[in-house]
Amino acid sequence: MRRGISSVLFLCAISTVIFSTDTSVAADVNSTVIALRLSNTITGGSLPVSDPIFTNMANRVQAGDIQGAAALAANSKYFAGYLARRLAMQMQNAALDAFGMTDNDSTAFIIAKFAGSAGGGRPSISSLWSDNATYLVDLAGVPTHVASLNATQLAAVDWTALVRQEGQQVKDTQNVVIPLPAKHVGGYLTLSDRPNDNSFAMYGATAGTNLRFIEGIWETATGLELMNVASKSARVQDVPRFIPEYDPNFFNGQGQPACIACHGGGMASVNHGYAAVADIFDFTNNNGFIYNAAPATNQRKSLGSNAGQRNNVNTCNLVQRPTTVCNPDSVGVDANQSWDLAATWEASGVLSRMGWTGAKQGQGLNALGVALGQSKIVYEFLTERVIGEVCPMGSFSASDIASIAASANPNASTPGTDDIRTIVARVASHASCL
Amino acid sequence: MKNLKLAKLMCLALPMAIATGCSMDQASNLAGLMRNNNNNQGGGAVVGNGATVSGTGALSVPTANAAIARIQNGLEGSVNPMAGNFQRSLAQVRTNLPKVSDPTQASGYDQVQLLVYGACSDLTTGNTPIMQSRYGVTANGTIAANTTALVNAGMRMMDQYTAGLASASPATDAARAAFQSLVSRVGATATNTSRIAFMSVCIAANTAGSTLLGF
Repeated sequence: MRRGISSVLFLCAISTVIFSTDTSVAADVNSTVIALRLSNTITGGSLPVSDPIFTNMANRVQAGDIQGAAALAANSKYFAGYLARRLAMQMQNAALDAFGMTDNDSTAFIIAKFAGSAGGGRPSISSLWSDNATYLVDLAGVPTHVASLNATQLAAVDWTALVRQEGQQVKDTQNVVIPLPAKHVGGYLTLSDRPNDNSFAMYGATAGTNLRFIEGIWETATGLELMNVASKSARVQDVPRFIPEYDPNFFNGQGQPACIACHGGGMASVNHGYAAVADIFDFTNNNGFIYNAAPATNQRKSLGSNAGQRNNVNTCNLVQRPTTVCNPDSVGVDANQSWDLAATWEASGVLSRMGWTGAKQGQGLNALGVALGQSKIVYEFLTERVIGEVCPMGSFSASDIASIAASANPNASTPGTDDIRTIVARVASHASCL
Repeated sequence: MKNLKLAKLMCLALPMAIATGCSMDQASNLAGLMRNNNNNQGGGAVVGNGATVSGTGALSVPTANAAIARIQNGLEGSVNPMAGNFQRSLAQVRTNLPKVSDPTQASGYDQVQLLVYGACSDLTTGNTPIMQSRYGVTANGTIAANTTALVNAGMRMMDQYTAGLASASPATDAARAAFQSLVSRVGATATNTSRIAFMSVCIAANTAGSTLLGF
């Protein structure tokens, strides 16, 4: 133990010596240290100090432009390969946990939206949930799905040079690859080219009822949790048909968190996007992501996770024994994938809290994704996430976060850049982070 | 001054972590105490995760992928995480490496040193090991004869992490003296070889560079 402690103390001595520079030292030392901090937090330290980008960063800092120096790092392929990629992997599940995630079409799409793409493709936060495109790696002139790369090829990818391909593909119920209709395209949410790819589509549409899919969309985009948006004024008609209305906890009145508050008034309501994903998407171990244009009753996940019971749930005859687990008053999910956020969330203040400026009603996941990209909250949540990565011990006020978010929000009163790199540069150069 | 505070924070945190065999949880408690002592800066501040934190700078830890990239850069691309002992050690410790950059929540920080160990050992193998071809440390020579090269190797590695500040700043003499002291202590044991001395220098420099700068 003594040897271990003495070794550690030696290691500390080295780092202390390097940075115990007196404030009267020439500015270039301090500028270099600040540039190192920016580089390590924005690129993870993957930017070599021998790269001219780093030299330019230090020079910018010395000239008093710390945000400009941070922008140099954020605009580099090293940001794309580290932080953009990390943020993308986090977005494949509602826990926003990158651990265990792998590169796939969904992460490639997000990286392209964060870092730009080949041919001058611009970054775009607002189209994360709606752009009808697929991004591939240029492998010796051949556009290749990123999940097809081996470890050596992956290590060599320039993540700022992904190739855009119009449209998204999916499998139909006969395992045939078809274009996903534009109405149902959800940007990165609906990208998956193979089974077990750890994509968001896999997370949301595997087995179950696809409630995970719509809840995951709201949670990963806004940072809100289920109880944040629950509403006691929900209607029983808006509760999915497979929720048992006769359960004593279904309605409010017992002082308990009632089922209806979330299932009728929250993220899981048939009205709040569930209809856009419930019955048309599935993800299987054998075939991957599937689009079902005309699901039969026993294929409709909005009628429960048990395919053998879906006909009973659809009928919902509470007289028959054994009693079917169902809600006879549910209007069910709309066959045209309609959604209406205003019916409950406007009155409960959720839309206001989200800074919702887009459409409040529509049909299909794509329209919902477009509207989501126009809400203020998605930019604020991205700012909070970047803070957590780049400056976890920093001190940011609510107005700081709002200001930084607005600088990237194209729908703000002064249109922002729609570019997460703006957020990264402003966060990294914040006074509390230096 | 901020940089000195950061470096001292790390020096306080790591000995505690190693002495108790604990992860960064204990060190994070220390960080939390210091945070409270330094509080009252911008009261009401809200960080992204909802916690009220008054930071004293961008103290952060490298996540797994960051640590790997830093070590590669520190050793100037001489090691490959998909080959050799670097790969083997990564396979063993990868799941334990820090998953977040927040030092109050990260664990496995100490595992990075094991990664460094694996990477450094890749520089000592072969008929003409990289420790010799790149760093000038003759594998079969004595520690005494290799002292200058060993110290220079350490300085060169630290330069990769500090953008040259190790060898071109007012702290240069002190940094060099630190490596000199390490080499002398290792050399004082007669049975230690130049490979062992190089490993000591390499582990010290790359652990410090990749994890102990405070960001």
